[in-house]
Amino acid sequence: MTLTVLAPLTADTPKQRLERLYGECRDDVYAYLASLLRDRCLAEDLTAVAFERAFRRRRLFNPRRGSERAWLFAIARNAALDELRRRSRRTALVSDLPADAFKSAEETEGVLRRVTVQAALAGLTPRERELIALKFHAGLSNPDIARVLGVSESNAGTLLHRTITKLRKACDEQA
Amino acid sequence: MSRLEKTRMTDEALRELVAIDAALCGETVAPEHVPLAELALAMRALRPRPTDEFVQTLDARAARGFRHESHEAPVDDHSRRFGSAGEAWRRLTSPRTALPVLGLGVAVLLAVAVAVSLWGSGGGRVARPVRGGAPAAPGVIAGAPAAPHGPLVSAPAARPAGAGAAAPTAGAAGPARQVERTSTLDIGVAQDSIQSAAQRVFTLASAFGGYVKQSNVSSGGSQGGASFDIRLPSSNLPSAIAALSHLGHVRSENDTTNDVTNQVGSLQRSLGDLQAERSSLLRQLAGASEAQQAAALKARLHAVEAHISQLQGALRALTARVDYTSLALSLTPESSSGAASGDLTPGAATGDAARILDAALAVLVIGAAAVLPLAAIVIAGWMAVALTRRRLREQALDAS
Repeated sequence: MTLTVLAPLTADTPKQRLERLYGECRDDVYAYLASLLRDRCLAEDLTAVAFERAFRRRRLFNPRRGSERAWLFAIARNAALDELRRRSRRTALVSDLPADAFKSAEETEGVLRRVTVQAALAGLTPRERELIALKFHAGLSNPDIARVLGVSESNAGTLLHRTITKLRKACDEQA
Repeated sequence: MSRLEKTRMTDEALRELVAIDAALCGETVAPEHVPLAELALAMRALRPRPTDEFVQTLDARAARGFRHESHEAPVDDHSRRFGSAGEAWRRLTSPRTALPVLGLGVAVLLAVAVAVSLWGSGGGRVARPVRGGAPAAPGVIAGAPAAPHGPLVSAPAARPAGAGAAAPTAGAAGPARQVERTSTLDIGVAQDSIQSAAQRVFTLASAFGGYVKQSNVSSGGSQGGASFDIRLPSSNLPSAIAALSHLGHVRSENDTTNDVTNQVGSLQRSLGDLQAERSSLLRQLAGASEAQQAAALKARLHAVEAHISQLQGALRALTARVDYTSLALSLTPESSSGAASGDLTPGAATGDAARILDAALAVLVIGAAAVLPLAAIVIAGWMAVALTRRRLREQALDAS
């Protein structure tokens, strides 16, 4: 995961730029979708769908409307929400990510801390969980989060800060 | 949390967000932000990671450009040209494609405007159907009949006695209306063509079985012109007007009709009554024995005959007006009618160009008036669909 903004590669063709974007964002898209949907299999399917759509629509990308990263995550988000709509008409999304689905990369983090944070995350609303996923799991910058959600950058920062504050309080209560 | 709530971030909130970004980038943070940084790292540690199997599968599909696995349009050279509707629309709206298409559309509009302009402003009049026409005599414009007897205007079913001297009428079938017509025709003619055009008016009037009752031709400068009072057989009027229109370009044309069937019937009945009275008087006169009685009958007979004569004259005149239409023809000199009459002068070309541009502008305005409301409806519909879809998506997220 990286927080660096992708440098515009105007010399590349749209296909080359998208291949580069795929290499840099594959895991991030999956992480975002898995956190949003809490379903690993569904996240895999929708990750593939998101990249398929991005490959097909690569010429529709307009740099003036945001970064390629934000464009890709907007596609992934729309695919995920469409899937949620379809599933809501049939049955509720009941599956969730099991605890062992999270492979901690930070061995120094204690299991207790992780469990506490997981419990606090579970108490967030879907919209708040999405913000956390975009920020900490997808690694998007605040401007990119704003573009993905369709809100102003200031509004995105405010929403993110409120969510983190709520999460901190929940963690403190859990502790 | 409100989705679109707009609030201004406090300085502390900004500092905390900066600290979170610094922590995620591995940088050190201020002591008061260490707990926040630890929370950020803990949340990042919870990041779901894809399985190796999924990564390998997806990488393989990416290497193939998601061609075969996609249920949607494949991405290859073929689809680059004939791909999805979205890409087709983008290519269509790109300047490289849109400009030629736009130019072609404007050219077609201008061509239509020019055609409309030339057709409507006297490049020539479309000849009306000629009924009973024959090949034109030398020197006569095509369309002039050799024998002007086409039954376009109805004639009385039966002529009253004494009215048969009226003009050529066609055999009518069944009860027909008696219609009196008058027409006016104003034709623009080049200034130096007034005289020759006037001569041709006489020729044409004669060729169509009519005559010029009155004429006034003057030439010289812009004050020149000609006017004619022409009588034409009503049956030949359309073809005569079509032929006369070739003299120049038609500036105006007006036709007036007046149904005189009742007047004709009334005259015929009165005439019949008077003729019956005359016969009776003649019989009485033949049997009169006294000179005084005979003188009175003669006086009465003279009066009746005078009345009969008067009614016959009125009926004849009325029938003549039905059979022969009065055409008031004007030849108006035009300085800029070069193109219309076949001459090409800078002034005429300028006038034509102005007319064409005027017509083109009118066509564009009409086109815009038709297209803009449709475009507004389409855009409004598209926006409504987009907003609805977005709202449904957000609702799905809230309900998840």
